[in-house]
Amino acid sequence: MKIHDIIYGLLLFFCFGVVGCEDMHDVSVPSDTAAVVPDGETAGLYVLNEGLFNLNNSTLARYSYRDGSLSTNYFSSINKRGLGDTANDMQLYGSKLYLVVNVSSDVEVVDFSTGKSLKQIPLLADNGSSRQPRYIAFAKGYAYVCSFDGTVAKIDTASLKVENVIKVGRNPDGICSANGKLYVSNSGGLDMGGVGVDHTVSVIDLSTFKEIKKITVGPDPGKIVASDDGGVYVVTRGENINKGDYHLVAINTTTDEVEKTYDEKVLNFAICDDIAYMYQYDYATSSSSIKVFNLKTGTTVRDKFITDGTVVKTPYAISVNPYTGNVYISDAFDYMTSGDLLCFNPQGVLQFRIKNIGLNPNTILFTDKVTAGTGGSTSGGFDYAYADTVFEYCPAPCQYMNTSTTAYKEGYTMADILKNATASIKNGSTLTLGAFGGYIVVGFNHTVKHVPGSYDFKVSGNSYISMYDTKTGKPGGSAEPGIVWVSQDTNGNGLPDDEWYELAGSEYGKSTETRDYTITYYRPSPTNGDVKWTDNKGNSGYVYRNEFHTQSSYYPAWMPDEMSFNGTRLADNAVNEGENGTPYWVGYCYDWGYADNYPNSAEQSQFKIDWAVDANGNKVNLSGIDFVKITTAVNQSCGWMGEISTEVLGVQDLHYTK
Amino acid sequence: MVLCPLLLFAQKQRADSTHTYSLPEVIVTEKYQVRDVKSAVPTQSFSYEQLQRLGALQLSDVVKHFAGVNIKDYGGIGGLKTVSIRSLGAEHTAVSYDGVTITDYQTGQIDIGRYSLENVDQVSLSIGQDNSIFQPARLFASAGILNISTLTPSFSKGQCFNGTASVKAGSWGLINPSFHLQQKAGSRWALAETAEWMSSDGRYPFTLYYTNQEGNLSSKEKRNNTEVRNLRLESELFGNFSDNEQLRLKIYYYQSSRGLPGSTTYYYNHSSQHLWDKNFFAQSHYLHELNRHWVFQASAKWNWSYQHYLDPDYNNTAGKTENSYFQQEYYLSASLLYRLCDRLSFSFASDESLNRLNANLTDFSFPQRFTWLSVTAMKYVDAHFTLSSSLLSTVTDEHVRIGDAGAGHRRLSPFASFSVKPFDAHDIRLRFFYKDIFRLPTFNDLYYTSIGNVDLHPEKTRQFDAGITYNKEHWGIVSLLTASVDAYYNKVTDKIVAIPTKNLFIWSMTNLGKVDMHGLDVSGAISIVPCSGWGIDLSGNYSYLKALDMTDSNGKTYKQQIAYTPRISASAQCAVVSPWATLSYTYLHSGKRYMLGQNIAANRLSGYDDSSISLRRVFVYKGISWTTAVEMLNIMNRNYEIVKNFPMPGRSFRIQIGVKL
Repeated sequence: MKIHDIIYGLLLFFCFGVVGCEDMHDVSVPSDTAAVVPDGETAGLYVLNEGLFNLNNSTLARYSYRDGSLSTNYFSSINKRGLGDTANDMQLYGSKLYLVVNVSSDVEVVDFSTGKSLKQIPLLADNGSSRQPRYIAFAKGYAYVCSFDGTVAKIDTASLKVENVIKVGRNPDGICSANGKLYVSNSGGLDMGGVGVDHTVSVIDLSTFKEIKKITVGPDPGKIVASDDGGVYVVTRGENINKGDYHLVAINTTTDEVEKTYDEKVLNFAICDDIAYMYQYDYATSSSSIKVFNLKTGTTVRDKFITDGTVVKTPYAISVNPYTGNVYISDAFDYMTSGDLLCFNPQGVLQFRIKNIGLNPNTILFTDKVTAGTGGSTSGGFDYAYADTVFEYCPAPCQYMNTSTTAYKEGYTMADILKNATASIKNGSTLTLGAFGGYIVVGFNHTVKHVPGSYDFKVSGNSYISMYDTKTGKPGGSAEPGIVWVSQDTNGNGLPDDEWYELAGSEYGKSTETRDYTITYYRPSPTNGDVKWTDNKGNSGYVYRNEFHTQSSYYPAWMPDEMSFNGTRLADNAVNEGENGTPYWVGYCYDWGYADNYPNSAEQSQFKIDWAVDANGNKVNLSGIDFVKITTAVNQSCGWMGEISTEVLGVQDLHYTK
Repeated sequence: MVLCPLLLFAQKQRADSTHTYSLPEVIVTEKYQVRDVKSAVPTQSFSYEQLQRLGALQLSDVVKHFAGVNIKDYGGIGGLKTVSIRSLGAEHTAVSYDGVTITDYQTGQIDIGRYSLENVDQVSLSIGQDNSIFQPARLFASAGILNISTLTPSFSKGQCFNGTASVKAGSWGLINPSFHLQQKAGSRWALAETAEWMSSDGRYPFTLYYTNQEGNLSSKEKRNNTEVRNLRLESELFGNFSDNEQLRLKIYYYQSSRGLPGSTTYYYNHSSQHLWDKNFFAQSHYLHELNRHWVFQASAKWNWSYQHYLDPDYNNTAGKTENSYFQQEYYLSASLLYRLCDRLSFSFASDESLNRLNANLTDFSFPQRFTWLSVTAMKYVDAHFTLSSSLLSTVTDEHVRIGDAGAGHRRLSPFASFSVKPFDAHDIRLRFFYKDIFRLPTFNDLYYTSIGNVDLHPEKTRQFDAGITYNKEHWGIVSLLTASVDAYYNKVTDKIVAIPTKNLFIWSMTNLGKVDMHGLDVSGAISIVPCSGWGIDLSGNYSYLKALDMTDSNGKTYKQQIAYTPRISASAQCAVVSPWATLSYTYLHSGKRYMLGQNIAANRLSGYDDSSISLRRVFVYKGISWTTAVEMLNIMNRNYEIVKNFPMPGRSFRIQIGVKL
C-alpha cells in the first residue's frame, strides 16, 4: 500500500462525503383534492393549523371549490412571512379575517378578499410579556379577544386598535357572544396541580364592557359556543383534565344561570340548529368518539356520528358548514405529523378527505365569497380572468330547479334569472344546467386568446373522483359531462350571435354519440309530478322527483309549458355499481374535453381552442373567443342520485394577465 | 476512556518512572491517535495540545469534532448541549470525569456545555464501551462513553510548584479568567487547585427568517436574556505512595446562573426565564497493584446538585413558576483485575449507587433508585488478535414517597469485540464489536407531574460494528498516519418518546419508537514534520447515518430519518506548527436535518458549515512562559441553527493571555 494512495483515498472520501452522498430528500405529502365533493354554494374553505409550540410553524390553508386549488401555505405565500407560533383561533368578521396567534402574542388581521395582512395587533402585558391570546368573538363592530393572562381585549374592527382591556377569571379558554353579552370560559388550566382550576364563566355586558357576573359552571371550562336560539353551551373538563371528567353545561343567557349540566363526555363540539356534534378523545384507549346530540331535547341522536366505518384517530377541530350542514372534522394523528381534513354529511358518511392539510388543524372556516388565490388575482374587485356575463341560461328540468342553483327566486322572470345568474357566476356559485340539453352562454370582458397547443380556458364544475375504487378501476365518481362550444365576436356587437364551434372532446365522432338529438320536456300537472320527456328517436321518460329535493316543481317556473333542446347526446356515463340491492351510482369520466367531467384540480377541466370544429366536423382556426356555451350532454336518470346534469361554477381565461 | 487513572499517572510521571509493566491492559507511551486505531472499539481522542488548538471554550465545541456524534446545541454559552452517539440518543451516552461518571437521573442527559477545558488533559470518546476491561461497572453500562481526564501534577526535578493563569475575553462580553496550581507536598503527595469564572451577556445578533423559503421576509435581531455567570472550583489531592499504589481525592463545585432565551418567536421578543445550577461532588479513586497478577481499584462519590428554574411571567395564580430540584447520589465502585498471563486477563467490577430526586412540586413522588451493577469481563491480546467480552448485570430497585413507583429491573447485557491484525509488516486491523445495552427511564420519564409514566420499560439498543484501521509511524517526513473506517448497524427498540395526550399542552411518555440505523464513520489523520520545529497536522472525519423510524408501517414518518439527525456530517482540523506560532483551522459540516419525524420541506433545517481559525504563540519573556492566542470563530458568519429557532452565534472573536509560573 502506497502512502499516496491512502492520502488520495482519504481526500477523496472527504470531498465525496461532504458534497456527495446527501441522499435525503424532502418527502412530498400530496393533498389529493380530486375527491373533494363540491359542497353546495361554499366557495372556499380555510383551515388554521396550529403547528407545534416553539416551531413558528402555524399555517393557514385555503381550498377553493371554484378552481379546485389548495394552498397549504396561503398566508405566507401571499405575505412572504409566516403566521408565527401556535395560531389558536380564526374568525371571519365583515371583510376581514382575524387570526389569533397565541405564542407570537398577536392578532393578525387579514383582508379576506386578497389574503393580505392589514395589521398585526400585539397583545402584551405592561412588562412586555405575552398575554397569550386564545380565542376571539365579535359583536357590534368590535372584536373581543380573551387571553390566558385573564383578560379580554376590545378591538375596534374599523381602526383595528385595542380600545380597552378588562380582567376576567383565570386563563380564559373560550369566548362567545350572545344576547348582548360576552361569555368567557375561565379555565384556570395553568393552576392545575397548583391551587386548582377555575370553575366559572364570566359574563361581560357589551354596552359597558364590564364583567357583570361569574357563573359557576364546573371545573375547567373550555370550549364555549352560542347556539342559534340564544343559548350558550360550555364544556367543563374536570379538576384534572387527564382524568376525563368532562361535562356539557347549558347556560340560560336571560337569567345567566346554569340551565342544565349534561353528563356527556365532550372535549369539543359544534352546533348546527338544535344539533351538537361532539367529540372526545380517550387517551387510555387512544380512541375517539363523536356523537350527535339534540340540545333541544337533551337526548343523544346517535352515539356514533360516523356511520361508514371511517376512523378519525385524533379529532382536533369540528365545524359544521353553515351552507350545507356537512360536518368537517380534522384529524391531528400523533400531533407531530400533517393532519387531514374530513368532510362528512349529516348522516355520518364520509364525503371526502383532504390529506395533509397542515400540522394540527384546529379551526375550520367556510365562505361563499370568492377570494383570491395565492396568485392574489382578485386584489380588490372582480377577477376578470373569469367570464363575467351570462347571456343565456336555460336549464332543463332537474332536482335543483327553481332554487338558487338555477338562479331562481320566487316570481323571477327570465331577465331576473339572467341577472341573478350573472351574479352567481361572478361569485363562483354553482349553476346547474339540468338534464339533457340545458345550457348556459357566458362571455368575458375581453377576448380569450387562442394559444395553439396550450390550454386556453378552464370550466369549473362540481365533479369529483370517488375516493373508493370504481369496479372498472377507471376514474369515476360524479362526472356529469357537458359539451363545450366556443364563439368569436366576429361582428363585434358584443353579443353571442356569431357562429358556434363545438370543442371536439374524446367522444367526438364515435359511434356512441347521437347527433341531432332533440328532446322535449313537458310541465307536469300537478306541477309537483315527475317531468315527462320525449325525444326524436321515439323514446320517452321522466325526470323523476326524489326525497332530497322537495321544492314544488322540477320544471322551470319561468318557462313555457313545453321546452325543446337539440344537440349531441353522449352515451350514458353512469353505472349502478351497488351490491345487494343497495344502489351505488358511479358517474364515469370521459377521457377529456367535457365540462363538469373531471375535478377542477385536474388537467381535464381545461380546454383548448385547438379542438374547435365547425358543423361539418372540420377544424377551424380561431384567433380567440369571446363566448362559451355549455350544454348537458347525457340523458340519464341515476336512481336516487337524480338525473345527470352538468354544473358550472365559472369559466376562466388561462392566459389572462391584469 | 482508554487510560485508567493509573495510566494517566504513569504517563505524566514517565520521566521519573523506572519501569512500566507490559500488560495487555496497558499501552503507556504511544500517541493517542495510535492507541485509537489499535482499539477494538471505535475510539477517538483529543490531546492537551490538540484541545488548545481547537479553540474550544466548552467541552461541546470539542465533541462536535468526533465522528459519529450528534450534538444538540441550543446556541450560545448558556444553551443546553447534549451529545448523542450514532443517534442513539443523549441518554445513552455516559460522561465520565476522571473515571467516575457524571449522572443526572432526572433528565438522563448531561449538559456538556457546562464543562470547560481549562484543566482538561484529554477528551476521548469510545463507541460501545471502553477498550480497557479494568473499569468501574458503570462504564460498561452505556452505549458509548465520553471521557474527560483532567491534568495531573507533574514536576520537573527540584520543582515543587507549578501554576498557570489565563484570561480569555471575547465577543458579547465574554470574560473567562482561570488559574490552575499544582503544589508538591513531600515525596508522596501533590495538590492541584483549579478555579474558573466565566461570564458573558451573550447578546449575539442573528437573522430571523419569517418563512422556510429564500427571498421572503427576514429581520436582524439580537438574542435576549442570554447572560451567563459560571464559577467552577476544583481541588484534588494526589497520593503517590509507590509505583503500584495511588490515591486521588477530588472535590468539585460549580455554580451557574443563566438566562433562558427560549426559542426565537416571530413577532414576540420578550424573554425572562432563568435557571440557576449548583453542583458539588467529592470523589476518590484508589488503585493498588498487589502483584503481577492482581490489581485492585476502588472509587467513591457523593454528588449533590441543585437546579432552580424561574418563569416570572407564567399566567397562573402565583404569576410565576418557580421550581427547585435537588439530586443526590451516593456511589461506590470496586474492581479487580486478574492477569492470568501476559495475554489473558479477567476483570470483575461491582458498582452500587443510590440516587434521589427532590422537588418543590405538588404531589411530587420523591423517587429514589438503588442500582447495583456488576460486570465480568475478559480480554485476550496477542500480536495478531484482541478478543474482549463482558457481561453486565443490572439490578435496580425503585421507591417513591407518593404514588406508584416504577418497576425494578434485572437485566443482563453482553458485549463482545474482536480485532485482528492480519499482516506483520502493516499495521492494518479489522475490528468488530457487538453490544446490547439499555437505558432506564429517567425520573422525569417516570414521575414528572402529569407527563411521567411509571409503566415505562427500559429503552434498548443493540450495536453491531465492523471496521478497518490503518496506522503508520515514522515514515520519512510523515511522523504519523492513521485511518479508520467503521460501518455499523444499530437498533433501538422501546424508544421512550413523549407524545401529546389530550391536547397539545399535555404530553406523556411512552415506549413507542423503533429506530434502525445504518452508518459509516471514516476518520483519518496525518502528521508531517518537514523539518525540525515545524509540523503540519491534518485530521478529519466523515459520517454517514441513515437513522430510520421503523415504529409504524402505516405512520406518516415510517422509514424517514428521525428528527435532528443529519445524513451527512464531517469535520476537519488543520494545524501548522512553527517555531514562532501555531496556526489552526477547524471546520464542521452538517447536512440538512428535519425538526420533526416527517421529512417534509416545512420541517427541513438546512445544512451548515462552521469554520474557525486561531493563532497561538508561546514565548518566554522575563523568565516566564507566556501564551497568547487570537481566535476567530464562525469566520464565514453563517447564520445557522442546530435546533430549530435556537440560532447559533455568528462570527466572533476571542483573545487569550496566559502565563506559566
